[in-house]
Amino acid sequence: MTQASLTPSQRRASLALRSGIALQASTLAWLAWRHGTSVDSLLFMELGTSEALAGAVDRALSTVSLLAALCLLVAPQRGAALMVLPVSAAFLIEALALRTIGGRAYAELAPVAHATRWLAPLALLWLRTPPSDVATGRASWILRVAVVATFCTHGFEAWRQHPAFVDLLIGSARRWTDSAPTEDTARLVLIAIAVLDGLVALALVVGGFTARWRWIALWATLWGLLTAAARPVALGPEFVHEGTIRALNGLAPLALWYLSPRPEHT
Amino acid sequence: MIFATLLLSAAPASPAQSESPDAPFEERFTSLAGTQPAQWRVTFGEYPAHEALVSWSTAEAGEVHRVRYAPLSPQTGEAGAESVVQAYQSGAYTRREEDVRPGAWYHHVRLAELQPSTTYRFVIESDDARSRELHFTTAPVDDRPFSILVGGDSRSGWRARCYINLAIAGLAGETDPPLAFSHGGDYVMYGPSWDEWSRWLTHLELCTADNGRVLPIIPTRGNHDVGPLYDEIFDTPGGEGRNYFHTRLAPGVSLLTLNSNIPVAGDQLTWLEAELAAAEAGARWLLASYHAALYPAVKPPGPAKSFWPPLFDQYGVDLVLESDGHAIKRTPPIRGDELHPEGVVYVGEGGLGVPQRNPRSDAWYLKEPGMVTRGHHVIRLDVSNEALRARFLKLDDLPPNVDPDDYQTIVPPGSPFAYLGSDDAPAGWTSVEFDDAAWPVGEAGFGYGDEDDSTVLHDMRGNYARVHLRTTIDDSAFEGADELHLMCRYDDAFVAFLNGHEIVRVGVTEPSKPGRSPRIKTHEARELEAFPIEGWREYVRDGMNVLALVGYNRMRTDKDFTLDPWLAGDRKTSDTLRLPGLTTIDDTTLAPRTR
Repeated sequence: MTQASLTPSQRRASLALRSGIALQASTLAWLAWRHGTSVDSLLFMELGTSEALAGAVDRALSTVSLLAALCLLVAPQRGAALMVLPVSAAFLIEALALRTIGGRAYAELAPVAHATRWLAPLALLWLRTPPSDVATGRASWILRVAVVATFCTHGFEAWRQHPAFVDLLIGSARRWTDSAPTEDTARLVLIAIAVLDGLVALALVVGGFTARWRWIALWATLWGLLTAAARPVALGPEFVHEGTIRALNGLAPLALWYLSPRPEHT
Repeated sequence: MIFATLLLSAAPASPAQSESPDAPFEERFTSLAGTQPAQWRVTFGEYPAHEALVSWSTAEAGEVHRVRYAPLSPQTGEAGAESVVQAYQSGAYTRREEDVRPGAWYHHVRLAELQPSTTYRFVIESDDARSRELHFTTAPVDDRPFSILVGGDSRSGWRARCYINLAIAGLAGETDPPLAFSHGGDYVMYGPSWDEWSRWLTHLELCTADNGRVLPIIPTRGNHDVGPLYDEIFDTPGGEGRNYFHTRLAPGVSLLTLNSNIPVAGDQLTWLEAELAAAEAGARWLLASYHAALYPAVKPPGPAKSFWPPLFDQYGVDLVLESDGHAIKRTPPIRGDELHPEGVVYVGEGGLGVPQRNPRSDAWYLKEPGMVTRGHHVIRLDVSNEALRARFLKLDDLPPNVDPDDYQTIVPPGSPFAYLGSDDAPAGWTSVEFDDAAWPVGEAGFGYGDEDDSTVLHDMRGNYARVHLRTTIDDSAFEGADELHLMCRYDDAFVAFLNGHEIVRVGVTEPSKPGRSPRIKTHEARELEAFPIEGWREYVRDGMNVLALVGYNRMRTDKDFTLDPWLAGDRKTSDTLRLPGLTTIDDTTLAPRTR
C-alpha cells in the first residue's frame, strides 16, 4: 500500500505531520550535537554519568529520531509508520528530562506542554492505508488531545505571565513596529492570550468534531505557527531552533484541520 | 520508554550508605541547633560603602536577635565604639514537606551609616548564643585600588564546592583580601528545596577566613534559584520580583546585577538603560553580572542576547560576568556582535562546584585571543584607576575522595583475603566458624578488565558473576576505635558481613520472589568510597573476627569487575585536610576607556 491510496485530505494531513516531525527532529539533533539537550543534562548533572556517556546517549537518541523522521518524510510507506515511535519516544524522554532537571520557568509542565512534539506524531500510525473512518477518527483524536494539551498549557503559562512570553511580545513588537509595549501592557495582552488559548482548547474539545467548528483548527494552526515564529523574530536569528522545534504546534492543528469533517455543499 | 529504562539503568548506583561528601568538613561547620547563630552571610546591595546586610540562621525561633559591631582603627586595629542593632526581620525559612532537614529561622540585620573603607568587627547574637568574631570591610569612596571575586554555579558537586569555598577563604584571609564576592547564581539545584539551601548555607561558612574575614556576597539569581528561599536568604536583593540592582563599588565603578529569569526586555531593560546612562558620566569601570550567558561556551545564548549587549556596547560596559555554562571562558572584546578592540569582554561561566563541561571552542568569540577551558574556578578582579585586571584562578586537582592516610586502619589496604569465585556460596561462609582453608588467598583488590586489580581473576568473565572474600581480624585491632568504616572500590555491587552480620549493602537488591536473581545496579569503580557502619560494636567478638564480602557483577559477560575493600576506624581530625591550591590560568588587563 502507498500514500497514493490515502484520500487527499489524509495525504495532506500526513505531509503536514511528517514535515513538522522532520523539522523538530532536525532541531533536536542539532541541539544534541551542538549544545546538549535536557537528556544530556539529566544524565551528567543529575545521575552522575560521565559527560562523554551523557553526550553519547543524547546524540544517539536524537540521531535515531532524526533518521526515523527523515525516513518518514521521504518514504511514508506502510512499514515506515513505525518510525514514528523513535521520534515520539525521543521527545517524550526530552520532556521528562526537562521536567526532572528544571531550571526553566514551568519546566514541570514540559511533558504536557510538549504534547504536540511527542504525542501528535503518533497520529501517523493511523494515517495509513487502507483508509477507514475508524483509523482517521483515532488519528484525529490523538491530534486533538495533543493540540488541546499544548494550548491549555500555553494558556496557563500566559495567565501566569511566563517571563519568556513577555519578552516575545515586546521583542516581536520592537522588530515589527520599531517600538515596544511596556511590560505592563505586555502582561495585559498575555491575559487576553491566555483566555483565547483556553477558548480554543475548549472549542476543540466540545465542537471540533463538526464541520461548523472546523475553522478552530485553522486558527490553532495560525496561532501555533505565529508563536513558534515569534522566537526567532523577537530574539534574533540565533533562536531559529526555538521556532523549528515548535513546528508541530502549528502543523499538528493543520493536520487536524485536514482530517476534520468538511461542510457539505448542496 | 524502553530508552528511558536503559538510560536509568546505565546510571551509576547511588551508594545510599556511602559517607557524606560533607564529612571531611563537618568540624568546620557551625551546628544548626537551638539559637546558635549559624549559616552567616553578609550581603552588599546598592551602597556597599555605607550599608551591609548581616543575616544568619537559627534552628529555633529565639526571641532577641542582634548584631554587635564596631569599626576597627586602620592604624592600630583597635575596635572603636560598639553598636548594637536588632534584627529588623526574622522568619521561618519556607520548607517543603519532602525536605528532610529540620526547619530553621532566618534573621536580617541591616547595618547603615557605615564608614567607607573601614573594617567592621561583628558578633551575631541570638538570645544567649553568640557567633565567633567575624569582620568585613566596606567599599571605598575614593579611587584606591580594590578587588572582588567573581564566580557562579555551586548547585551540585558538593565536595568540590567545599574545597573551592575553602580556597576562597584562603583569599579572604590574605593581607590584601578582596572586598566582596559576586556570585553569578545557581546556588542550588532545586530552588524551592530547603535541604539544598541549608546545605549551601552551611558550606558557605567555609568561605570565612580563619581570621574571621567574611566576603560580602553580591547575589545574582540563577535559573535554578526559583522559589521563595532566595529572597528569604538574601532579603530580596533589588526588590521583590526584580532581583536586579546597581552596586556602587567605588566612585565611577558600577556593578549592574541583572536577572535573566524574569522578562529581560521590559522594565528591566528600561532600568538597565537608565542606570547605564547615569553611570556612564564619570565612570571609571562599568561591569554587569547575570546568570544565563549571552556569549556561551556550552549552551545556546540566553534570551537577553538581542536586548542587553547593544546597551553594553552603547554605554561602554567594560566587563560582563556570566555563569550557567559550567566552564571557563573569556571572550575577546566584542561590539555589535563581532570582534572589536573597543568592545566588551565577557567572562565566566561558573565553576563553584558543579561538574565541569567540555566547552566548545569553535565559536568565533571563543577562539584566540579569547580563552576557553574547564575547571572549578573563581575570577579575581583587581580594580584601579589605571587598569581592570581579571585573573582566572583554577582550583588544583581535588584530593582523593577517601584518603587512607586520614583513617586509623583495621584491615589495611591490600590485605590478604581468602576468595572464591562462584555464583553459589557454601552455607555459612560469612561466619567465623566457616573453614576457608581450601580457598586461594590473594591481595585486595580483586577483579579483572580495568588494570586496577592486585589479584586478577582471569577466569571470571563469562563463567561467574560473584566473588566471595574472607579475612580474619583479631579483636585487638578494634581497640581505640569509636567509628568503623568499610572502604571499598567496587564494580558493580557488594554486600559486606562482620561475623555473619550484614553491615553494608550497596547496589544489590534481593529478589522479592524465590528463584529469581538479585537486581544489580551498574557502578564503575572510579574511586574509593567510605561506608560508615552503625552499631558495629555489637557484632565484634573476643578473639578472632571475620570480615566477609560478596562482590557482584551485573552480568557474567561484563567487561570488568572490581572488589577492593579494607576496614578503617576513626577518621583523624579535619586539621589534616589537604587543600588544593589556586593556579592562575589566565591574566587579562583592560585599559580604561576614553568616555
